[in-house]
Amino acid sequence: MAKILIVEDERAINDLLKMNLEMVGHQCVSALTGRDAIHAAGEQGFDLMLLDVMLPDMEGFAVMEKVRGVPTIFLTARGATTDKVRGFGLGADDYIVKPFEVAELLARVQAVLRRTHRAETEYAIGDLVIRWDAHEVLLAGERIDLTPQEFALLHILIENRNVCLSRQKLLSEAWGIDFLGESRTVDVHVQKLRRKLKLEDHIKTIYKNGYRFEE
Amino acid sequence: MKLWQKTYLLSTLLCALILYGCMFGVTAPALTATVKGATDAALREEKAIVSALERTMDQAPEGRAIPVLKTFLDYYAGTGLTFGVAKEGEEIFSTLPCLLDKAPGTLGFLRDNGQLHLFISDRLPSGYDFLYLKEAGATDALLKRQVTAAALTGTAVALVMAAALYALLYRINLPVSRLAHEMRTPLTAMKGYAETLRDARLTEEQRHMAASYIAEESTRLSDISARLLTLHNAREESTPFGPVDVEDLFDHIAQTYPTVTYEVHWPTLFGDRAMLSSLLNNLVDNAVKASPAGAPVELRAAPNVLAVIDHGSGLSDEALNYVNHPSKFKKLHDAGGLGVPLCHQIAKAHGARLTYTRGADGGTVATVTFYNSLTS
Repeated sequence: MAKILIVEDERAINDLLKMNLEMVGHQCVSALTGRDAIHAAGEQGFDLMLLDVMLPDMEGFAVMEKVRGVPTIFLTARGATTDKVRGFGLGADDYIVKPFEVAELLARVQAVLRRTHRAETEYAIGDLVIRWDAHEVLLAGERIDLTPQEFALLHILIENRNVCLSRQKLLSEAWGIDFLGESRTVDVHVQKLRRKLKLEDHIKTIYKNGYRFEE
Repeated sequence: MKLWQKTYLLSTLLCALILYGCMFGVTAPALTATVKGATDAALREEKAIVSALERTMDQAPEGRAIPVLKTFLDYYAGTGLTFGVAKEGEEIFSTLPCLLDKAPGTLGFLRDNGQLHLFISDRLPSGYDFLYLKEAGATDALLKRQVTAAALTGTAVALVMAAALYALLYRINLPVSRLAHEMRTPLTAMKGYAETLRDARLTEEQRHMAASYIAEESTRLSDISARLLTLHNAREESTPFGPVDVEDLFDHIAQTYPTVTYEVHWPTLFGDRAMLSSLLNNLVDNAVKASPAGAPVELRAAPNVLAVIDHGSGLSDEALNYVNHPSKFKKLHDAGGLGVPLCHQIAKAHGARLTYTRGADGGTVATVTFYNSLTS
């Protein structure tokens, strides 16, 4: 779980980001203006900042200059190449182009958190404890062996908990974009995960859509 | 640089050139008059001096002509006038500030030490060459004032014109890109909430919030769409208003909706066909949706009035209030949805008013009444 500051003046989009990030277990603080953002960042530490480039009171870049030391993903409009160049020049970690896909947003947030070593290192639910760095899975204190594929699949499902991922998405995320598998492969691996880790109640099949890890 | 900006620069440049040409045309006669006034006065003065000089010299005793001449001309020193007298190329007398070698019988201006002078070169009947030089500071100042005034006026007019033209072109051209930009926010929100509704495990409250945002943001999109339509008319290349064949308009709609029947008692109206077609399509679409399957929807055109009549179950008082005054409501209503605000906008653009009433059989009648119709 990471603490994320969302700086976006459009309330609809701010709430959208917050809703989805909280869904996968992050803790969020919303700021609608640059001033609010700087104030919030001064009061508490954050693991990540999502920053809109166009804010009513100041440019997003100005916020970035004031708030140092917080990994930043900035939100920009399509085609604003200069924004990207400028953002990276100031040390941004990534950017997301509006309109974005929610799944892509979550993936990029996770990627930055991992890269900056702020992602969760351990996850526990019921009897199950997973140590991500050690690639270790314990069920009621006992080590369970998972294949690398199964482990990757479990990781991606838990990172996007409460959000449904399509079989296609799971294939590209857990097996790599070039993997020429069938969606049946995903089904087989999900079955194995459910059986090995007793996750039948948590990994749900979503009709016509894919799989969702529910807490 | 954008195309419209290039066009703007080119046309402004051309306009400025024409403007300066006109200013020159207007100023030239005034400048000529100033010069002519100065030279005429100088000529008169020079003639007077010359004739006085001749007389003095005629009366001078034999051999004393030159000293007399000097005395005579000394008298003028200090009046801003200077002279030079020569005979057969040899200077006899000169108060001139500089060397002058002008052919006799010429007249003109020359600048010496930044000061403008007017000279007249003459040959006296007695064979002396006479050079008259007068300071023309006042004329110079007047000419400068006239030229400055013309240049300033021209520049001021050109600037005002350029600014007005830029403002106009900016208004016509830029909003399109800005509106396109503005569409991104509602699009991002709608896409995001739709995906969230599809993929995420939401509480009832979150589900409601996501759906409300989608509805709210779609209102914004319809606003932008209405503004784009208005803008489309502002663009010069479109011919917004013209005669529209009502029968043809109705016929097109009847082809899309098989249950539509129509009657035309107003053959031609004045307006934008694309916008009117969009208006009627919206009204008919709502009417067809409100009607039981296969029930007829009537389109009628009477002078200054278009009406869409359905025989459906009718609208509630609340819904009727919404479709008549959608701008008073913050959120979209089920009745009519997105189309209704747009329909009102189109009617307004035509100097018409859209009203919904309850028909005799309980169905709905949408009436577009044209108040400023040019043809009937």
